[in-house]
Amino acid sequence: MTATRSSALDVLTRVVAAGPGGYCLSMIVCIWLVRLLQLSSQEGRQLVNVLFFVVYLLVIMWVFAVARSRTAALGVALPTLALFGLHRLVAGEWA
Amino acid sequence: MKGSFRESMTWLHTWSSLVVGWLLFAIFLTGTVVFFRSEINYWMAPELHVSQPGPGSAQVAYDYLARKAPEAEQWQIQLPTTRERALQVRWRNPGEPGGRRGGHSQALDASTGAELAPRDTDAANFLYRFHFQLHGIHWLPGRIIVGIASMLMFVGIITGIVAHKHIFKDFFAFRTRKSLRGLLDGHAITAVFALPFHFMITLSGLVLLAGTLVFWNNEGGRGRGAEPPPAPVQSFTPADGDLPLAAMLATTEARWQMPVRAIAIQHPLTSAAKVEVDSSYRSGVTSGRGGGASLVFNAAGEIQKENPGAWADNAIAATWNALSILHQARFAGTLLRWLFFLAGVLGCVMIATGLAYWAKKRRKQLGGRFGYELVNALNIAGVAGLCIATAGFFWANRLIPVAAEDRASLEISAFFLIWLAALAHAACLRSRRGWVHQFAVAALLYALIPLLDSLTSPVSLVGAWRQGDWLRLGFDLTCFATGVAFAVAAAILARGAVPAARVAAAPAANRGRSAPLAREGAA
Repeated sequence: MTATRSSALDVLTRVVAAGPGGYCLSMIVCIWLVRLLQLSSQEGRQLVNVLFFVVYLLVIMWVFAVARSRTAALGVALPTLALFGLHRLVAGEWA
Repeated sequence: MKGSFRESMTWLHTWSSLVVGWLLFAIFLTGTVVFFRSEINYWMAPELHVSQPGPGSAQVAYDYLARKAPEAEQWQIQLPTTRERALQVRWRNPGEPGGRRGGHSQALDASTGAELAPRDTDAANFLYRFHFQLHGIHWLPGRIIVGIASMLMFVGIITGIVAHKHIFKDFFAFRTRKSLRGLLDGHAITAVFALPFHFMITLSGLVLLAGTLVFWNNEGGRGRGAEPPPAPVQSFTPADGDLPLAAMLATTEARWQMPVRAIAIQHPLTSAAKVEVDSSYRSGVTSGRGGGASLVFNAAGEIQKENPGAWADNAIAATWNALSILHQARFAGTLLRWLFFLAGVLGCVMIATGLAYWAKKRRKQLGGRFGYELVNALNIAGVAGLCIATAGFFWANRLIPVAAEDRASLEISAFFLIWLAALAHAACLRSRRGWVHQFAVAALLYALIPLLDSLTSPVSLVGAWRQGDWLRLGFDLTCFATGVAFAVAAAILARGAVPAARVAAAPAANRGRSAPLAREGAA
């Protein structure tokens, strides 16, 4: 593997977008899921314990599949921020 | 990434698995071994080997307690099961604190009631804890590290399926002649053969760690309630005769169609005695928490209460329970437990061949570079070295004197020192010879375990055969078979010190078949 500077940066961007970024995105998606499906707290909790990892997996795969690393970074960051903001507006508090 | 979806998934598969490969192997190996946690605990406490369970075991325990603890408020008796052969009794005298650690406990010979003093060892519980929170660091970072590794395993499994073009065709191809293809075929076959198991065990493992990994979802969830205040000391009139214990056991077994596992007696030896006979085996994978079925009797042997096993409240809870029960094989009988064990072994082989394939494929290009040589050394120590260390742990259990101070942690130190020695050896000898040496040592250590067991247990293996002690014989036979497998692996590796020409020919032959896997190393 020829680790040129740009490809190293490309990989680093994706790793950050997929790891911590994907974690945040999956978290807020799960919180919205519980809200929209109107699950009782115990049920919702157990559902999220399983679904979280599936959502996280899909986000990670998408981040590494997409053609440009900038798309990957924005594609994770923007929905995360939007969903968090919306959640704060609706719930009046941070998740 | 550049290239097609499948190529980027192949890249992700390679690197996500490689960075945590050795850790995953350690998690998989210890997890596979502790499917037989009770059996290993029993093997590692040879003082218990004299115990012979029989139909009278419950009465033996009852008589012992009546002699030893007539004043006690509460007795608990753990009967021998298909996975344990000694009796375990606990009792609590009036005024003593309750809870799990309160009171007294004693292991007993199930046929004579003689007190047994098992040696100080963590046994398989050490491997069990290592499996999900490692050792020597606080449990929280330990669990986070294991969680991250498991998530990467999950990614590795799914991307591996995507990367594999000929998933069905290659299933029937195992080209042992060409060692590079052989490794890849071995990786693919062990992966595909037990794919449902790998998927289930990884996802359920993640869900079991959800309390740590998805902490924001589980805050304040599962607190243990405050301990109940101690019951006021009452006096009871002594009972006239003994409890009809045998009849209670027979009734309970007939009622729930499951063998009895435990007996708890409140106010024993009085006319107010309350006996709960518990057959808390899980038979279904969707049982609720603490899903044991039991019957409660009074002193005269009349049924006071029936507790059927708990069932999950709803589909989601059932799914959640199923995942955690499946992961721990808590429902499994002997046969299914063996299937899980073998699937776990396949998982270990999958990880090991995957790591070896990565290294072998890049030898020509990267050989000699620091990073590559580091991977090579870690491969040998992480795979073969850990197998040696596990065998060494069993040896240490029998060789460290019983009276040694802090014995349990000495055993664990032995485990890590042996692992470290294997790493040092691998660092010096990173070639195929390193693998051969370590596999040979592992073969010797595992194959000789039956001999060690026979010489260092109060009951020899012949005696164990006479007692029908299949827990011990099973452990010893499994170790012997493991030793033979390592010997075969070492022999194959030693013989097939493949000439460079043949190694070079191999990639050329498969370039057309498995394009992304062959190409991405050169990318």
